[in-house]
Amino acid sequence: MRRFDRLEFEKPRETHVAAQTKQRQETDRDERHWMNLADENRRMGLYEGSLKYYSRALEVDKSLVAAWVGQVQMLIMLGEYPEAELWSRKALELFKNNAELMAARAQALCRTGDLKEAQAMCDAALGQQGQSAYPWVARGEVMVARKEEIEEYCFDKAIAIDRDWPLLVEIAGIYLHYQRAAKALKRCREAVEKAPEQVLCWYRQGMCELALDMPGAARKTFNRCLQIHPNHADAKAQLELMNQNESTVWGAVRKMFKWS
Amino acid sequence: MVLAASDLDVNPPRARDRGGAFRRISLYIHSIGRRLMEDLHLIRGGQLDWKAPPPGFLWRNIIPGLSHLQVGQRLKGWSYLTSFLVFVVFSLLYLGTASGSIFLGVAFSIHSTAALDCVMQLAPRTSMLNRIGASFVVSALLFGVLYFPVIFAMSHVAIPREMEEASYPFKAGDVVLVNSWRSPQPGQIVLYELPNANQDITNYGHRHTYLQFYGDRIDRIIAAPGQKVVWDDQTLKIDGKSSGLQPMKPDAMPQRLEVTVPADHYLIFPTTTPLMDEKLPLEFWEKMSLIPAGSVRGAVYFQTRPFSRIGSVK
Repeated sequence: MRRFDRLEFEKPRETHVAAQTKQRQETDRDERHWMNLADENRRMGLYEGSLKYYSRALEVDKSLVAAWVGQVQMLIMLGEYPEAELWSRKALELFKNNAELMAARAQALCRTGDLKEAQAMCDAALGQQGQSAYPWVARGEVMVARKEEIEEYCFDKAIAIDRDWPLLVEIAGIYLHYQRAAKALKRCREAVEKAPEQVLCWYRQGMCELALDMPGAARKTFNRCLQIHPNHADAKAQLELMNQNESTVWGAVRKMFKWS
Repeated sequence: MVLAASDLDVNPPRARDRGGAFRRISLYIHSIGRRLMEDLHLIRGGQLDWKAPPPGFLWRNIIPGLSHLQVGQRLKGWSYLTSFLVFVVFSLLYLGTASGSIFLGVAFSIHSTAALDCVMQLAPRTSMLNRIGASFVVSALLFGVLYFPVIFAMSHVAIPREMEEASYPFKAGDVVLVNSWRSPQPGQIVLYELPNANQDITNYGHRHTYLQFYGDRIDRIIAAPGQKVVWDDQTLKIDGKSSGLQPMKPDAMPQRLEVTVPADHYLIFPTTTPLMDEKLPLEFWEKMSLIPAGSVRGAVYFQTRPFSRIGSVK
């Protein structure tokens, strides 16, 4: 060990300046920057990060309705339904009769089990002027929750308005939440066809295959995730879990009697 | 513009925050309420098969099996009733012991099961989840409305007290019931705390031997505050009049003792305390006999164990 390794000297001036610049850059970033980051995170399935960036965007501009909607959607994705319901209510106090916020509230209410209120909110959202995909998604979810068969029509309507792949993945997520894995897989496959380079499409497909008790297919799909994104923590965790399950006696017995 | 400049919190509440648990609980309660309201609506519309309970259903559940007997379910009714009574009797017999608590727990379970059975027979939905939910509600209601008040009252009126060491006329392991709500009166046998005291009993030589007195004892209250007591050769005079009251073990008393009971004190001769005998000085007897009112724990009125000596304590 060198003799003066542990002595403390004043930090070099350059580092201090660099930190100051970084801080200035951080404050200089506008809401569009944070919204882009939120969207990037959302497309990768990093909902916690996305929620954080939506909040940063709102710190810059509180009138950004899309960020409020994004926050509620992320809370729903994270399974924090009472919080999502509370937050959507608060946002609606600021932006009365906003269709997307109403749809977000409908979705949150639906997840908390209040289908009657969710249906009413959804109808109100669809009654507003303008056309966006989210109210149709929310309506589709209410239909799924009520076990009514016209949900596909609602989701198709939403897809007709917004042709981007994340919508398909989110619809698959809704089906998965209500244990309709077969329908979820169909939507996931559509998403994969649209954006085969997106890891989230593959990951969600893997989850659908797992739910449908197709471990072989799921393993392949998760491996595909890791080919696209070698450090995808969720795909790794799923593979590890599958390996653990198969190493048990019950897992081996199940494997013996399964085709896939 | 106004909104952009306003001081608004833009960070949403999170499940891991302090209010998260509360939000979940309130959501759960809301969902139960919502489901009940939906059921009520269905019942009103005749879409759900549900009949109102027969009159007296609620109060009959105070005794398990009674509701079943009322509607002619004799086997169920008698099974619940007899098994409950058996365990209640056992819990009373073994009151104050671990076995007694176990018997009481079993009796409560039987009661809860009987009430739950009644509720489920009347409930429009009998899924496993509803049954589990109903069992929690029924048990909580039974405990809150019936068992808690009874246990609370009993914990003041019938506190079981197991004797740790032999103390005339009780033996180690005997169990007596103490009533802490009864105000102390002369003639009552009470559980009280002895004043902490040391007494030198050295007769000769340099080595001193001390007796240390402490702990709870059982004996009779002889006199109330302000009374003047004279104990003379096994006879007792209170305020100059002869009295039939006797300490529990009169043989242990000294030949003569005169005491005036100060305010907020009771006179209890500690005759059941081992090693308290006539040889000890009179001043020490006086000191040990004047018990502060706060040290009287309650009236001892019944012995529950051993079974051979069950009966009132006199």
